[in-house]
Amino acid sequence: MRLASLSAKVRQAIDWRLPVTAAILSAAFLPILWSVISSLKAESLPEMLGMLHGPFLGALRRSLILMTAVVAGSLAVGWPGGTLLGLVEFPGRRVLLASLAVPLFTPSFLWAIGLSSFRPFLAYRHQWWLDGFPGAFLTGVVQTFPLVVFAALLGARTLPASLLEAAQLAGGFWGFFKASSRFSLPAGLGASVLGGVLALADPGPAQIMGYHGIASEILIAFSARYDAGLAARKALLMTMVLLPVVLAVSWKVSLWSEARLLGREMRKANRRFEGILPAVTVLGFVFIYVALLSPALVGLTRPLKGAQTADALQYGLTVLKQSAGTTLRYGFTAAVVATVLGIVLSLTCGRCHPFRLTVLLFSFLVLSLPPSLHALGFAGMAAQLPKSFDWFMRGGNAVGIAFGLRLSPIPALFCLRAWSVMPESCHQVAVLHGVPAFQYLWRVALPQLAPAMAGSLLLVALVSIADVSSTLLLLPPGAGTFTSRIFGVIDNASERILSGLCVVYVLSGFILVGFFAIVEALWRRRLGGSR
Amino acid sequence: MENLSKAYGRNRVLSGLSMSVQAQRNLLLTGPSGCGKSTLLRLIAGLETLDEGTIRIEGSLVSERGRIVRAPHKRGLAMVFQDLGLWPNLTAFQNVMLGLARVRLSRREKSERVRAILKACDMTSKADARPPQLSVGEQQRVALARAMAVRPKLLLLDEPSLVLVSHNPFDANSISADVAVLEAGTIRESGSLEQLHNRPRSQTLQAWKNETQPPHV
Repeated sequence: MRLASLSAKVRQAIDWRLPVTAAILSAAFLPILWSVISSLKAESLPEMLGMLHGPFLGALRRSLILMTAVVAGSLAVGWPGGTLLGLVEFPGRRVLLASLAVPLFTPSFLWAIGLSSFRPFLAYRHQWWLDGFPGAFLTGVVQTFPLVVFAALLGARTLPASLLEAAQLAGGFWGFFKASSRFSLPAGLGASVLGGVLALADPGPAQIMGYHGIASEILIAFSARYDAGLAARKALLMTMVLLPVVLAVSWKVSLWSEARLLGREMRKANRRFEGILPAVTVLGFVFIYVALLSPALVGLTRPLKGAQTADALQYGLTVLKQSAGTTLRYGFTAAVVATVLGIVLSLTCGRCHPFRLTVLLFSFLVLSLPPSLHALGFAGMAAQLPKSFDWFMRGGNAVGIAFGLRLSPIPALFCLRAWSVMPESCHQVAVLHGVPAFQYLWRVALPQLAPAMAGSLLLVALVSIADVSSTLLLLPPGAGTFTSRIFGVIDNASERILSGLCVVYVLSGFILVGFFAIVEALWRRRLGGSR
Repeated sequence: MENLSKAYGRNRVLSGLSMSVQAQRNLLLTGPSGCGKSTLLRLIAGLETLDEGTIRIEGSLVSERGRIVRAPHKRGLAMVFQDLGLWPNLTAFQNVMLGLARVRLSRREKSERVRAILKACDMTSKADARPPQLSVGEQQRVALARAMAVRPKLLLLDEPSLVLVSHNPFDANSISADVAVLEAGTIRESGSLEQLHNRPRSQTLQAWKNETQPPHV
C-alpha cells in the first residue's frame, strides 16, 4: 500500500479508534513491560547477563534445543496434516478435528505423566526413549502439533477456489496438495514457533521427564526461593534470547495473515475427492495421530487396574468437584475479558491496514512471549498498585483477568477474521441507508461474529484452565484449579491416584469438546445450507 | 460534479472530471475496466472523499475537497453494489426492512412497503430465505428491492449489466438513453445513445459499435 493512502487511512481512523486500540494493546502488554522495567531497575543489564553461566546457561541451552526440536517435530507432522484436513472432506472429519482439539486443552504435564507411565511397557534398554530429552520432546510435539494442524488447516481454507481448481486440473490431487501446502506454511510455522516457545516456558514436562530447563529455573526461583525478582530476571533473560526469533516470526506471520487470513470473502472449492491417494493420505495422518497420542493415553490408564481403580476415579471426581468452582470461575473470567477485548479490537481495526497489522504483530508477540513473564509482571504490578486495585489485581479475579489480558489476541484474531470475510459493501450499504450503529451492531455485526465469539470463549477458557505455570504464580493462597491440584500432587500421590486424576481430566476434555462440537453442528443445521 | 479528482496513492483514478445528470433520466456510465466507474459512484454516494472538486445534488453541495458535507444517508440516494452487499444473516424480508431504518414510517407501513417491493421483484415466495439460500439472480433482485424500497431520488447501480441482464451499452437502451464514457479518469464523451452511436469518439464505443447493430432508441 502506498504511503499517501496509508496515512489517509490512519488519519481517518485516528479520531476514536487509535486511543481505544492503543489502550487495549497496552493493557495486554503492560505486565510484560512491567516485568522488563522492574528487572532492569533491580539489576543492570550487564549484571543480569552475568547470570548467563554455569547451571543457568546449561538450562537455557537445553531449553533452546528442546524448543527447536519441538518446532521441527510439530511442523513435520502438523503442517501436512493440517493442509490435508483443510482440503479434503471425508466421513468423520469433524470427529477427528474435535478429538485433535483435546491435547490443546490438556496440561502438558499430563501427557508427560502418561508417557512416563508408559515406560514399563518397553524393554529396559528402550526406556530412555521416554525419558529426559526424548520424553520432553515427545510431550512437546503431542501438545503442539494439533495447534499446527489447526493453523495450517485455516491457511489451506483461505485459498481461493479458482486457485485450487486450477492446481487440481494441472496436477490432480497431488498438485492440489502441493499448491496448498506452500500456502499454509506460514501459518503452520507461526503456530509451531508459538508451540515451541510454550514448550520451552512450561516447567511441567521438564520436572516429570527429568530434563531441567529454563522454565524449571524460573519456577524454582519463585516457589522454592520465594524470589519473584530473580524469577522475573530469569524470565527476562529467556525472553531476550528468544526475542529475535519471536519478532521475526511474528512480523512474517502478521504480514501473511493480514494479506491472506483476513482476505476477502471467497468462493468455496469442491473438497470431495475420489480415489485411493486422498484416502491413503488421510489414513496415514490418522495413523500418525493415533501413534503419537496412544502411548500417553495407554500410559495414563496403566495404573488403573485391580480393585482400587474405582476408588482412584472416585478420588479424581471428588477433586474435580472440589475445584470445579474455582476452575470455572478463572476460565470464565478469562474468556469473558479476552473475548470482550478481542471484539472491541476487531471492531476498532475494521479494514484499516496499519491498524490490523499492528494488532496482529502485538497479538503474535504477546502470545509468543513466555507466559511467566506476563504473570510475574502482573503480580509485580499488583504489589505496587494502591489497595483500590486489589479487587481485580489480587485474589480470584486476578488470575482470570491476567489470563484474559494475555489471551485477548486469540479472540481478536478470530473476530478480525470473521469481520474481514464479510464484504465491505455490507457495511457501506448500512451507511448509505443510515442504519443506526447500535442496530447494525446488534442485527448484523454481532451475529456475524457470534461463531468466532463462541469459539474464542471456549478456547480461552480451556487454555486458561489447562495452564499451570502462570496459575501457580498468580493463585491466591488456599485456592486451586483442577490443573494446579493435579500438579501439586505429582511428587507425593500414588501412581493410581495420579492416574485417576489425569483420566478424569482427559475424559472431561473429550466430553466438553464433544458437547461443543454437537452444539456447533446443530447451529450450522439451524442456519441452513447454502446453494 | 465539477473538476473531480481522486487518487489512491500514486494511482490517479479520476482527473478533472466534470459532468451533470438530469433529473428523471437514466444515465449509463461506461468505460474500460479500472477506469474509475465504481470510484465515481462511491464519490457520489459519499463513501469516499474527493481529492479535488465538488459534488452537488439538486443544487446543494454534498462533497468537496477532503470533506463529506452531507452524510451518505442524507443524500436521498440508494446504491446496488457490484457484490450486492446483502447482510448474510438476515432474510430477504429483513434485508429490505433494515434498509428502511431511517425512513419515517410505522413498523406496519414499513412491512407493507417491503412486501409490495418484494412482490414487484417476484420475490414473495423467497421472503424468508437468507442470501446464501438464494440463487445469484434472486440475490440481485433482493439487493435491487432494498435499494428501491427507500424510494431514492437517485439510484446508483454498480455493474447494472449483472443485475439487469444487458451487457453491451448499445443493448442497454432499455435502461438508459443517455451514455457517458469514462476513459483515462475523465468523461471522454456523453450524450444520447443515438447520437453517440452514429459518431463515437471514444475507443470504448467504437469497439462496441463494431460488435453491434444500431440500437433502436
